[in-house]
Amino acid sequence: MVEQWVPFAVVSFIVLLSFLTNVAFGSKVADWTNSAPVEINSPWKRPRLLAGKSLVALWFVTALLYIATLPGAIVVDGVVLQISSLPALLLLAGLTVAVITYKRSLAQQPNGALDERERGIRDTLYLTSYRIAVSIIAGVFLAGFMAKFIAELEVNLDQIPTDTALGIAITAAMFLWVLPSLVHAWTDPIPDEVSDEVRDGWKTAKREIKREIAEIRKDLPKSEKVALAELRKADRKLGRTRTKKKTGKRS
Amino acid sequence: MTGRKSSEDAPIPNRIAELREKAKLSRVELAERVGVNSQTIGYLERGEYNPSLALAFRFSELFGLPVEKIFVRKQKKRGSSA
Repeated sequence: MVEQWVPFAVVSFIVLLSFLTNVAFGSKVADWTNSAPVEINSPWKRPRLLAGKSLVALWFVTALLYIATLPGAIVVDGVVLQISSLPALLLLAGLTVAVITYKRSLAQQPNGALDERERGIRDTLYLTSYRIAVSIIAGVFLAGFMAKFIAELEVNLDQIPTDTALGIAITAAMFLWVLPSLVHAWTDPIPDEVSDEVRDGWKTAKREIKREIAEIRKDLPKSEKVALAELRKADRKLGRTRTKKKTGKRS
Repeated sequence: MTGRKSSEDAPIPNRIAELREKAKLSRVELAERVGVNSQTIGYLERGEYNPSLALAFRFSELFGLPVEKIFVRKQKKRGSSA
């Protein structure tokens, strides 16, 4: 009886820990109640051990592993399989939290915590997720239809054990919950954990140096121009006097 | 999320980086003043994001310049033939 509560307790602990480290410990936290834009960047950066596509791939592998180790999925020994599915469930829960908190949980943030660009990204994530979910559901129905009416296979859902069905249902619910974050992690091209200013530091420095050089150059030609103009003036004066002298001599 | 860009979504050149440097503001400070994330300022400066009209007006108010002086729409070069 106690063993049944262990996964739930551990999952709850992981979720609580994730919340505390990502929200409560940040210097600037997302204000869930305030509708005004709130900066959600925290100076504390979560180490990027698993980024983007690898995180998504690992989530799916773990989900499949969990389903495969569910009691009834592999019929060997009920007790042993029940125990073996627990690490997979814990790993899946941990990865779910990791995916959810990807890029400051952008996919799960309310409007007030995001600016217009981030809101646009989040809305696109949900639209893509909706399309994926609909495609999967349509695919499952189509496969069932083809199995029953075209291949004429016996599809009997009652044969699936309750625990297995529950495990699959939990995974499916987890998948639907985490889908926008999965899409975000998969499609996100730029790792923005490093601030733009740090990443573009050399660019900024280069720009500043160029600007300074331009200012120096701007000053230099001026003095050169002035000197040249004066020389020309002097030349002209000299030329005039020469021509005057020449014309004077001729006249 | 970088979708396919149509000609209408093409980046509109802007002078935000230049004006920010003139105003001696960091990206974080500028972001706080106009109410966006500092990364959005980076996206704007790199021309990877076109702001909404409301945000464009916030920049306009902050820098004390009309919107068209901050965001410049590139004009197509016409041929010399009449």
